[in-house]
Parts: sequence; structure tokens; C-alpha cells
Amino acid sequence: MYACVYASTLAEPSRLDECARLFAPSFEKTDSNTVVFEIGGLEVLYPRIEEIPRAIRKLLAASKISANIAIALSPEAAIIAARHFAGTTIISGVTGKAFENLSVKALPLSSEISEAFDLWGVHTFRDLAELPETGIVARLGHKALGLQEIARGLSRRPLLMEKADEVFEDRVELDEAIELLEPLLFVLGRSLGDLCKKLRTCGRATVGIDLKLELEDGSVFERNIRFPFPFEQSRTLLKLINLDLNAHSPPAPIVALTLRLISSLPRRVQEGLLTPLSPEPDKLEVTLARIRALVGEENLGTPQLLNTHRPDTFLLQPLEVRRGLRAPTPTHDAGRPKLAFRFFRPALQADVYLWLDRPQRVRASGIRSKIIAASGPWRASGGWWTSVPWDRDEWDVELANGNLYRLCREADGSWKIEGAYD
Amino acid sequence: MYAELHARSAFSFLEGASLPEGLALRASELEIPALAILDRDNVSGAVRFHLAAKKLGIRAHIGAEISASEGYKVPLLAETRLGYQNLCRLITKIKLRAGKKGECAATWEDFAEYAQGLICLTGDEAGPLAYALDRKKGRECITKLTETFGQRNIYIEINRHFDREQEARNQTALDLAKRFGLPIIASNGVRQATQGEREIMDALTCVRHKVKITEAGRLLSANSERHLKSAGEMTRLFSDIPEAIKATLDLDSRLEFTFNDLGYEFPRYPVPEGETMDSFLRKRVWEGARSRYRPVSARAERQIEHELAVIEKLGLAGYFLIVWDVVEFCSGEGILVQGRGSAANSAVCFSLGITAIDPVSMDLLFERFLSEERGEWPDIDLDLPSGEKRERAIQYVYERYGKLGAAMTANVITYRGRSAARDLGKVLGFDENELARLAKLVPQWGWKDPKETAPRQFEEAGFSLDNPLIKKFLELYVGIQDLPRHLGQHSGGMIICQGQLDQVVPLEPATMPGRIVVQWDKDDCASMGIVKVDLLGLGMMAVLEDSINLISKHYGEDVKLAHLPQDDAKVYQALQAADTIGLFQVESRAQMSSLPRLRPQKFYDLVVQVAIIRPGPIVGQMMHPYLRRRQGKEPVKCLHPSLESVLERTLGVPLFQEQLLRMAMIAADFTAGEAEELRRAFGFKRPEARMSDVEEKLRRGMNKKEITGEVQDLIIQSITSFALYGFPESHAASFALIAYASAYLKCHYLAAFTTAMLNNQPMGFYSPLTLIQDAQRHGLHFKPVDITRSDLLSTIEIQNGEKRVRLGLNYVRGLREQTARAILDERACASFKSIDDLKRRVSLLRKDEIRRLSQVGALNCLKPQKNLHRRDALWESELALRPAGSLFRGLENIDEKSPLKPMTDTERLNADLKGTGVTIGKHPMSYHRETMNSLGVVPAKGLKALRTGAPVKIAGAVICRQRPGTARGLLFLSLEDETGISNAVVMPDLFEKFRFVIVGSNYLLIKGVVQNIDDVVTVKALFVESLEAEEQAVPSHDFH
Repeated sequence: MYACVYASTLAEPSRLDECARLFAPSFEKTDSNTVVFEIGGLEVLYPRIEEIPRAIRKLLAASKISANIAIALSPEAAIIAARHFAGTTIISGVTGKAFENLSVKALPLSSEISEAFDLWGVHTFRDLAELPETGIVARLGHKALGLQEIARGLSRRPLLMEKADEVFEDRVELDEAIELLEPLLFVLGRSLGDLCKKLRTCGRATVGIDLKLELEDGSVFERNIRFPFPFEQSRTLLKLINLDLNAHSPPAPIVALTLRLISSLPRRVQEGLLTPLSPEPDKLEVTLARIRALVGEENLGTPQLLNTHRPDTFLLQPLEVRRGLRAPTPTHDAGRPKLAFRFFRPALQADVYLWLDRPQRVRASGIRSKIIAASGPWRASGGWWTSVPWDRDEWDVELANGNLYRLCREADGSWKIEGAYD
Repeated sequence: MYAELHARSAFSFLEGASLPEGLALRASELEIPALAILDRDNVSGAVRFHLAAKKLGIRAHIGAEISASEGYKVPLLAETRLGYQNLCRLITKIKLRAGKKGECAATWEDFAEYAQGLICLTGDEAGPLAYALDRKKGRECITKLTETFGQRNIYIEINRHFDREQEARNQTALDLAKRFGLPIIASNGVRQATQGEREIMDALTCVRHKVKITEAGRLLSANSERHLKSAGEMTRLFSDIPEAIKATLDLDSRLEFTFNDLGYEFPRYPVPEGETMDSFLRKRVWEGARSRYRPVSARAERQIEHELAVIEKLGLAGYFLIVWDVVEFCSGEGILVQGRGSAANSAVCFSLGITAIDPVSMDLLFERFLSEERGEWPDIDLDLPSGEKRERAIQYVYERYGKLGAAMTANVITYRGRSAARDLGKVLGFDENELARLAKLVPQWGWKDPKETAPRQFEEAGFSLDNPLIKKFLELYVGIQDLPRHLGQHSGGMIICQGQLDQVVPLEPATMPGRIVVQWDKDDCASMGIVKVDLLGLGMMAVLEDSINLISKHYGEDVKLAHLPQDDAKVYQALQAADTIGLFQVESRAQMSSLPRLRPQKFYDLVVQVAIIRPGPIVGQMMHPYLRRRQGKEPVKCLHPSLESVLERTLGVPLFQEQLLRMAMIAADFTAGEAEELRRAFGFKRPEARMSDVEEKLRRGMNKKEITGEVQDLIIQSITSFALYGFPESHAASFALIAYASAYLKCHYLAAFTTAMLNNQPMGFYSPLTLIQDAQRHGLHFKPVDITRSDLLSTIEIQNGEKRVRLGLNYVRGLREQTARAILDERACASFKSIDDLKRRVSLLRKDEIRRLSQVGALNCLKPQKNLHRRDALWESELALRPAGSLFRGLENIDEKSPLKPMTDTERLNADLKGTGVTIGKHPMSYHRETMNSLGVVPAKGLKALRTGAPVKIAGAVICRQRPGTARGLLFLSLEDETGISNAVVMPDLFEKFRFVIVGSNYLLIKGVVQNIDDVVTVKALFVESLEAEEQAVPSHDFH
């Protein structure tokens, strides 16, 4: 016999699984709202079959889940009953009678079979059950026969068991609060060692660490570190935690910690014979973590130019190192300036003196000079459909000392030196 | 001074943001003396540009940017008439060679072939020089250009849009100019008239590339500089190369070609030796007159002589002969043809068989058609059966005058309403749901002044104008209105040319195979003095023709439309009783409600009936006075005794355009030509100055005749208000003839007429379902689609001496025509023995097709011994679709009798409606009659017995929802049941309240009060509810 629990609305699907797990070590998670499990053996605890749904309902009530519960001879019958009959349903024999008025739409119909049933006037389980088997198979194939078996209550299929995820988590409660990073790393190192060993045993690696530090003042300090590649070496992981905690220290001494590794399949790379060597991913990640700690998270990544006429508009994408890629060959472009341009970041605020709408003198931090030649304005505008349209004029200027700069006047009239031509 | 000689208009189709008129106006504001528009591979905007520029006193130069096979665009300007002709021929050549609409490319051989008379600019960033400079081949490019167009016809074009790359290119171009000794010319590569229109340009660019504005990036303009700039601005921009500015004026003075010198000639009709076109026409006219007027009265003779004299004087004999020739071809081929419109005012047209109305006996005004004073070509429209026969007539004209001698006029598809809303919505990144909501807003917006109504409408639809994107949407929507989207094909307008039409205007292939269109629309052609013949497809002409053939085949009678009995009692009874479903022009709900009041008794009444349900008489408040006078409820009085002769036949109420012309002629001594001029002055465009001039003239004329004071004002008012909407009497008469013929055939040959109607769908006001229901009420029987009997189209079968209509296979939805033909071919060889036999022999049959045939009962007759029903057929056909494999071959019971139950009545009805769109069984409402009776619902046929004010409930399938602009927000609903059609009117406030139910429900129950006036029953709705019915929806004619 099988029991199916169907919760039509469910805030937390995991609660349903937890309930199922209390009645059966393994169960089928048909969808996020439906679980099915075998109840054979429960008669020891519940001699009368009616007691089982009562017990399930009690447990569900404790979790504030309202659901239909059905018990039937086959998983399919239990699922259909739970989905289409409110409350508790127990079908001890073949389902034929109980289901005969149900719409065939309750079955998992393909569009083709659904259309055929519609045309044939096959609307209920009884209509379907009454059709000759050979006739159905000859016309709609074995899939339709399977549907008819369900309609007749004869379907027998095994449960498709849900396997619980392995949890790679360790919790350490400290006798004394730790104030310094070094002893903390010592504790973390031990935990990481155990967890990484467990990871390897399960043939897994990790793509992230969730670290929860319980502090003396009662607060909780959490860090979630994610990696672009799966790692399994505790030493690397410890280094990465070290760098992260260096940049983000907890505000109070630590009394307990929980370390959880997010598991994933390990990384397997077949290196090409002619592929140039690139840094080991774990070493690279450690280096990047170091840089991140220095420059800040928002300032590390791969710049990607945006498709716009607005100059120097780019986005920092998460850093991605792809092997075997060569730098693109620069395309020949006759019209482009022949000089290299170096952006000042940030641009220098400047005062520019104009004569007949052309720049004559410029003054900025460290620059104060007469302009001996200027070409421009080079005008660009856009974003007119947004609330912040932009409009700017650029001038390429040569100062008395021979230096070449790019001046920019924004729509608000302010001037900047954007950079220099090398 | 500066002339802008490289501008693109919106006629570059999504590559320019301003109309030619807008560019001309802006040029005039900026005091630019000359402007050249070079659209992409076309001169579609050239005529409008020429006319606008002429009015504004600026010189309009014509050119085009021609796509080269390398991908760049070569800007060419027409220096001389030969240059223009070469440009047209070049565009025609590359367009026709490409064969596909919108694609073309010229080779350098093409450029060389048509280079004479053309001046080439080196272009902007899309031009040949920029292309070559990118590849470091500037010198080769200039050499090629000079070799092709000649050294003195190349100008090095320089644009300055404040762009680094462009300036770098300019410097190289200047060097090249120096090296080759070529003149440098400044231009602004204009894409929009004003700076602000850059936003429209960007939006159009997104539409062209099918991208959202947020993703368009560098496809958009870098800045807003490509607009028309004044001489001062351009001089400042080019202060370092003043010769570039001067060159614009030099080139302007070189470009001598204007549209005043187009060189168009209407083709001469080939006449026998010793004849002139005039003498030949005269002979044909008198031949025709003698057979049509029996005998030719003195009045007719005078009229014909007068018309012939005018035609001779205007040199139009060739035109009449060409139209006559088309009519002769149609008659020879057995294609029904009838002239419509103002041509019916001409006795010459009547004599030549072009029109069917005798203008002499009907006292129609020839000058409405043609007058010496107007200096315009006449316009003859021919109605032909829509479909293949009309195509034959069109192809005849192509063959007769050559592929390059005749073409269809274009139809410029412009941004309006929903198309603009959808395109802009997509550009601005609205999702499908928002797009649908925006598109729905469109018909409700007061587009003439959107600011007044838009915020409220937007808020009601859940959009806020505080949202910058919505605000931008509205701005763009208003800005984009009337901009050309693409070039289509006019429904029937053909132009013909003496010699080669491709020297006058470029030709290009239409989407439709075998069709060629010119790049000008009919107004452009008219403005350029190019004469046009409209070959229009009219569904009813096809019905009449098919009916006549069916009558000859099944009734053994030879019906001639020209000799139908006049004043047939049955016809007028049907018209008076508004029993007009399926009849031409008099079948709409509005027509039906006026027919019992007007009670037509003779042909002229039908002419009035056709004309009276029009915006003119309704808006001009002429309809009700006429109907009241007709019913004797109001005395017949005339505006002035002198006008009695004109208004007598319409009971003193002016109904036709001809009447207002004659009123002006009598009351104010206008000549016929002046009267026509008056009609135009008060026509659609209504320019103030012209209107007041004409009114002044009218008053002066009336004062002379001592028609003054209130009477004068009344006459002025009726003439001026009516000129806008009035319907020409000749046109009404032509339509009335067809209406009479359709009524006659329906009354006397119902089976033939109904079959023809079913075979020419879609057409008319009602769906085939309503036509069938109506015919059934008139006693006609129908037979279902049957694979063993049905033809492709519906046919007539005789059973027990009675004619019945068999539905054709074309009514089976989803059955492809090729499959249907394959079935018919196989059936012609041997009849089908079973469904399996059918499937085996017709390999084209797809699963969905065989299922659909079974579903609609078309396969029921394949096993008569087993008394197959539709589900049996479905059961069998499913097996035929999956032949048993080796596993099942031995099983005996797979071919067993079907275990499926027959369809219920409702299932059968739904299968019919879903599978064919019609049912020949009971009306869906008949299945609910008992329930309806218990609810106190009165069937449609019972309504006439009720008196005004009686409370009533009506119910039925909604077949029409209309909210005409002239009805001040009233909604008219037609509900059909098994007894007929009941009409309801819903007041605007009630419509707002029940909008969702009315629009969303297929079956309605309406509670209201009866309005029974003159046997016309309408229910004024007080409450509307949806009827829960299992039946499928029936097709409804909504909001047209």
C-alpha cells in the first residue's frame, strides 16, 4: 500500500519532505507539492489502516500544512486520489469504481492523446477503461495503454525515490571565545580537513563556503564565499577563508562556528597538448582573493565594453579565465586615431577658459597651461529615452609643454580632463 | 547662401525621419533656396516633395541613393530629364532583377549603363568613398567614379557631424579632391528636418533592425546633428573650406531637371489606317449608343455629341478607347465588368459598355466626371469579380502594354494607430501584455489632439505618464504618425504609359507574383498628370457571375444581368421587409433598419437607399427628414423654388453630390466646372482661403439672382456641409444596379445565389453560418461535406426534384487545398471503399486532416453498410493513420467495430462549428429554446408583435457588435437565434458597465424595452448578461 500527501498550497516544500521522512526512510517526490511513500510495515505502529492518515495529518498540522492524503494499492492511484479527492481517501481494493467519474484530464496526457480522447468523446476514467486494449494500443500506442491501466486501477510502478543530499557541515562550540584570527584559523583548519576528506570520499568537491560565526555579544556573523571552480584541497580553502576574514573581520569574539561546504562535482579538465599553460585554478583564486582584499570586490573583474556611443562605458564582469583563448587580432581601422589613449581614473575636474567657443587655457590638479592647439568638438549624445539622457563634447588639446589631453564638457557645463594621449 | 543637396526623407522607409513636406518646410524656414532628396533606391517621396517645394518657392532636386552590390550606397542626382529617366531605369532594372521586394543592388556595369545625365556625390559614411577609404582604396574608388560618371559629374562630399572618424575621413577626401582636381561639396547628410526628430530616427532604426532601443547601442545616431542647418551654421562649420559651401550653389544651378518636365504621355490606342483615335472612338460610341438606347433620343444624341466634343478637345480619346478595350476583353472572356463612380455620369461610357447606368434618363451631371475647366484626367473605376478573373484582366493590361508600359500604383503604408503603437512598444521594450494594452488604447485615443485625452486613457489602462518611458512612447507615437512604413500595392489602380513607363517612375516587383508596381501612389500619379484605370475586385461581381453559371447549369436558364426584369415584385417585397441578408450594399444592420421606412418601390428608391446610409446624410442630418417626407410625416418643401427641379426627386432633401453641384449652378450661376471646383474646395482638406473664396463667389451669384437672407444661408449651409460627405448619384446608381441584381437572384434562384455566396467568402457583412441559417429559413436545404460527393467548392445537388446545396471541401478547416484536390483526383479514378483505402490512395492526407474530415462527418459515407457515425470514422481513421505492425497483424480484433459512442447533438454542433465554421443542423440557440422560454425570452421572429415600451428579454449568439463613429457612442448588437436576428442598442453608460460581458461573451441575454417604429424593432438594453452555453462561438462582425 502507498500513501500520497498532496498539499495544494505550500510555503516551504522541504516541510513536506520532512514529514514524509518521518514515516518512510525513502519516498518519491512527485512534484514540489506531492510526496508518495510505501506504508508497508507501519502496521506495527498503526494496526488499523485509518490510523496512518490520521497520524500523517497530525504531523502536518504541527507544521501548519493542509493537505489531501490518500492511501491506495499503487502509487499512481494514491497520487490521483490525493490530487482529486479532498481530505482523506483510503482505497483498499482496485480503484475502478472510485475513479470512474474522474476526468481523463487527471491523467498525464500528451497533447496528441488528449486531442484523440477529446475527439472520441472519452471524457472520464470509465470511458477510457471501457475501450478495448488492443484497439487503444493499435491506435495510440503503449503510452495510451499505460493510461488505461491507471484508469482501470491496474497500474503498478515502483516509486522513484528521492535521495537526500549529503550534508558537508561541521559545528564547533568553543570553550573560550576566540579573539584572534590565528586560533580561529586553527579551528577552521581542522574542520575543513575533516570536511574535505568527507568530500573526497563522496567523490565531490566544493564551490562555496558558508561560514557562520556566533559571537560573544549574541550576534551572528556570516560569510558566504563562492568560487568559480570546484575545490577539494583544505589548504586552499583555508587560505581563501583567511583572506576573506582579513578583509571582513567579525566585530566581536567568537564562541561557536558552523562551517558548511556547498558540494558539487569535482572539476575535470583534459589539457590539450598544445594548450599554453595557465595558472593553477586554486593558486589563481587565492591570488585573486588577495587582490580583492586589496582593491575591493567591486573593482575586480573582466571589463566588458558596452554597446553605446558613450565613451569609456564598461561593465566589470566576474573574472573568467578561459584556457586556450588568444587575444583577438586587432582589426585594421584607418579612421581611428593613431595614438594610444590613457584614461585618468577618476577623470580630473578642470577649469577651461574658452574664446569663441574654443578652449584656450586649462587648469586642473597638477596641470595649468595654455592650449596651443585644439581639435573638436567631438559630440555624442544618447539615452534620450531614459530619465538621465547624456550629451557631451570632447576636445583633443595640445598644451604648451607638448602634452596631449582629452577635455570633456558634460551636459551640465562641467569640464574634465579624461586622459592623455601617449 | 547654401543649398542642401543630400537629404533623406522618411520615404527611405525607416532610414529617414521626416516627410518630404516637413523637410521642404524646414528648408524654407531656414531660407535654404534648394533642397535635394535622395531616398534609398526609390523616388517615392519625390512628387510630394516637388509639390511642397513648389508651394514654398524652393527648388526641389530629385535623386536617389542607389545600393551597390558591394554594400555601399551611391548618391545620384538627376541633372537633366535624361538623367532622371536613367535614374528611374536604373532603379527599375535593379529592383526587377532582384525579383524580391526590398532587395536590390546595382553593379558598376549598371551604373555605367545609366550614368548619363546623373551627378554622383561620394556620399557619407555609407557612401562609396568611405567604404573605399576603410580599405585604403580611395584613389581606385575616385578613378572608378570618374570613369563611370565623368570627371565633371563627381563631387567629393564632406559632412561634419562632430565625429572624429568622419573628420579623419574628410581630411583624406580633401587630399583626394586636390589630387584628382574634383570639386568639394558640403552637405549635412540630412536624415531629419529638425534636431528633435533624431529620436524618431533612432526609433525607426530600431524597428528596421528589430531591436529594442536599450540594445541598439551603436546602431543609433551618435548625436543629433543630421538635421537641416541654416546657411550660417553650415558656413561656420566649413569656414576652413568655403569652396565646399559655394559648390552647393554651383551644383544647384547645374541641376536643371524638375518635375514640371516629366515627359509622360498616355499611350495611343492603335487604330485602323485612315482613322484617328477621335474618329475611331466616335464610331464605337455611336455603335454602342444605338444598341443601348433603343432608339437614341435627341437628348441622348446631344449629350453624346457634347461629351465627344469635350473628349476630343482634351485629347482623351485614347484613354476612353483603352478602357473600352479592357471592357471588351472582359466581355469576350465572359468576365462581368461594370464601371462605377463618376464615370457613370457619362453617356459615352454608357454607350461604350463601360458603365451600366444611363446618365441621360437619370439626368446625371457629366461635369462631375469630366470638365474642360478642371484640367484633370478623368477617373474610371471598373468593378470586376474578385479573384482570378480580375487577375486575368490585370495581366491582360500588362501584356497589352508591356511589362514596362503598365503597372499598378503603389499604396504607401504609413504608421497609424495600432501599427505605430506596436512597433514603438516593441522598440521601447514593453512586454507582450503591455503591448496588447497599448494597442487596445489606440482606437480610443483622440489622435487629433492626444494631449487632451491620452493621460486619462493611459491611466485607465494602467499606465502612468509620470513614467518617462510611457511619456516618450506617447511623444514618439504622435511624431511617427503618417510616416511611411513600406510600399504596398494599390488594390486596383493601374497606370499606363506611351513608351516606357520606367522612364517616368521606377517600377518594382510587388509581393504578389506577376505584379509590378510603380513607386508612386495614386495621388502622386494624379498630381503628375498620369492617367489611371482602377480595376477593382468586387466580391459581389464574382457572386453574380458564379450565380449566373450555376443557374445555367442547374436551372437551365440563361440569365443576363442587363435584361433582368425591372420592378420585380418579389425583390421589392424582400427589400421592404428588410429581408436582405447577403444582398449587396443593403444588408447591414443600419440598412435593414431603414428599409422598412423607406420601402423601396422602384429602382430610384434603391439608388437613394444605397446612398442614404452613409456618413454624409447621417452627419448632415438629411436621412431622417428624407425618411419622414417619404412616409408622409413631413411636408415636402424645397429650399428655394428655383431648386425644385434639382431636389424634387429626393423630396427636397439634397442627398447626392450632383445635386449640390446643380444647386450651385442654378442658384449662383456657377458653370459646371466651377461647381466641381466648389465640391473640391469643401472636400476633405478644406483649405480656409479656398473655402472662403468659393463661398464668397456663391453668395455673389445668389445675390445676383436675388436669393438672399435666410434662404441664402440655408443653401450655403447645405452645400458646404454636404460637400464633405455627399455620395455621387452615379456611384449610388451603379451600386444599386448590383444590389438589385443580387436581390433578384436571391429571390428567384436562392440555391444558386447561396452557393455562389458560400464560394466567394469572405465577403459582405455576414458569416457563412448566418447566410446558411437565413437560406434555411427561406426553405433551402443543405447537405454536409462528404468525401464521396463534395467538390472543392460548394455545389448544387438535385434530390427529389429539389435543389440542395452541398458544402464543399474548402469548408473543412485545416484541409489544405492540395490535399482536397488530390482527394478529388483519386475519387475521379475510383470511388473510395473505406477510410483505409482513402488514406492509402491519398498519401498527402495528414493526420490532422483525416481527423478533421472524420470529425465533421465527411467520412460517414465511406461504410454505409455499417451505418458509420462520426466517432466510428474517427476510430477507423486513427487506425488508418497507424498501420498495424507485425506484432498486431495477427490480431483479429484490432479492426473491431468502434466502441465509441456517437456524438451528442451539442458535440456534433461544436464539431461542425469548430471544423467548418458553419452548421447545417439546428441553430445553437434552438438547443436552449426550452430554457429560454422558461426565462421568458422572446425569439427574434416574435419581436414584431411587441409594441414600443414593452419590456422584453432577447437572447442569441452575437453576430455583430458595432459602434459607428456617427452614433455618439451607441453600441449596436445583433443576436441570432433559430428564428432570425434581433437587434439591440446599448447606451454608452450601459456599455461601460457591461463592457466585459458584451465584448467577452459569445451568447448574450439582454433585458430591455422594445422600440417598434415602422415595423423596425430594436431593443433598448437595460441589462446584459452572458449565457452559459456549451456551444462554440459563432463568427461575429465586430466594431467595423
